[in-house]
Amino acid sequence: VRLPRNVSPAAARRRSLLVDVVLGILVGIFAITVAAGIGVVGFFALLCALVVVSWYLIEGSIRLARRKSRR
Amino acid sequence: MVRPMATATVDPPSRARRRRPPPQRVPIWRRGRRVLLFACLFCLGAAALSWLPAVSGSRNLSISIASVEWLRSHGGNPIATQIENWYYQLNEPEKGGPTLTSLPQVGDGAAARIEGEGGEGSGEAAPYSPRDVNPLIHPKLPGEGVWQKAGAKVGPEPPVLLTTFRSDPEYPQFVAGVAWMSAPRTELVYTPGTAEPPEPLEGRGSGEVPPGMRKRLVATFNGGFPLETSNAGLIYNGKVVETMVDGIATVVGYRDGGFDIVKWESGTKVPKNVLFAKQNLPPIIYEGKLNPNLSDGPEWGETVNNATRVWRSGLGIDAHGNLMYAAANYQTVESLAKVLKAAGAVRAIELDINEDWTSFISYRHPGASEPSNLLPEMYRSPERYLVPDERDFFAVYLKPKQPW
Repeated sequence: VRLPRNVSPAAARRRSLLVDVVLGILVGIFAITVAAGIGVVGFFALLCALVVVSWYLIEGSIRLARRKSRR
Repeated sequence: MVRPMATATVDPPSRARRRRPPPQRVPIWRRGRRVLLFACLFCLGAAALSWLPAVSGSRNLSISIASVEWLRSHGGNPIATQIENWYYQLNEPEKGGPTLTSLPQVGDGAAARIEGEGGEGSGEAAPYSPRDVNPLIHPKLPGEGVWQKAGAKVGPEPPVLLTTFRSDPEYPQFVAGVAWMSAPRTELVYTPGTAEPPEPLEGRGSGEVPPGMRKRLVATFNGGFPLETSNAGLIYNGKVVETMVDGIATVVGYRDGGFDIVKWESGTKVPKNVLFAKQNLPPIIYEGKLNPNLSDGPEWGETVNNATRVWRSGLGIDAHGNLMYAAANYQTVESLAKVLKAAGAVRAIELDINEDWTSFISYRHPGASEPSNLLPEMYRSPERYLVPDERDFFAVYLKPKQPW
């Protein structure tokens, strides 16, 4: 089955999101497999998630502030 | 009025032929960040499946302690230890400062012996009781180092005595609590907790002092490092639970009811007369002398440094075979050993460290009523071992048919 090449931007976004989710799960499975235990994985995953979520939040709030200042 | 039918004269723009603009390419670092977030969420979900039952199943542990224990037992022991070390180094106490003017009241308030009565060399008929502890700091505070009866209305041979004294001349505000338990009058029982030692374990019990035994209960105290962090052995009910290690300090209970603290030299086999044996690190006192390696790091286990000042507890045995338990906050391995030596221990083992695990509880009346902690700063409930507890512990009972 070949995926259609000429798709709408929304469909392209959904497609890349799906690819990223699958990649994320694969990375997670790899981490769980090689780590000393699920505790270590959970600990570092929590730290990483906190950093990445804060990054998203800071980025989003900067974007929002810029939009407001343009108006 | 009849509306004329529309006739298609103009072709709509053909979608098939129109080229879409190429979709905006997302920068690769944004994709990478998103992948990382999904990986983290996946791992967190997997960890939560293990963590949730661990913390919800803990009956008398706070969620934070249960989480640290979960982390330790799931490969994160080095992480937890490192964080603990940083925490304790940041909160290290300063030397000196004003000295105390009084000590916490322990026991029944009745001195165990009057000057000149009992003790060594005071006549064969007099029951043995330990000499009061020579204080490490002078001048001595009222009651410092004086043994007090733990139980109310006990006879002339109290099974448990308690005392407090300032533990370190460089830190005059720290108080050590010490308990003495009579060998002729008591027996020591190793009791597994609900989670420590881990499965498989035959005859675990309910992780608390059995209700049927409480009428003879005089004291309970914490049982030493978990097997995962002690890297040492355990014998329970005469069977090897974890392989014994030669040269390690061991609390041994014999089938005839006796007990001792030894440096284990019996190899991996169980001697016939041994009922239980719990190992924990090298001896801190042996043959009446402090271990010369007390200031040496690695041999003191996969836990906070030996020189880090934390709550520490230890168990010693005096020259007459009586047990002595000591605990205090802000102790190093060395200062704890000095406390036990000052109290009269000739062999000693370090037990648990950290405030979460250090407990010595004595019971004022038969039936385990009016339990009280050795030191008021011990924050675990005095009821700790009367309800199921995760960790293993030792219970001290009066021998059968012994009067209170």
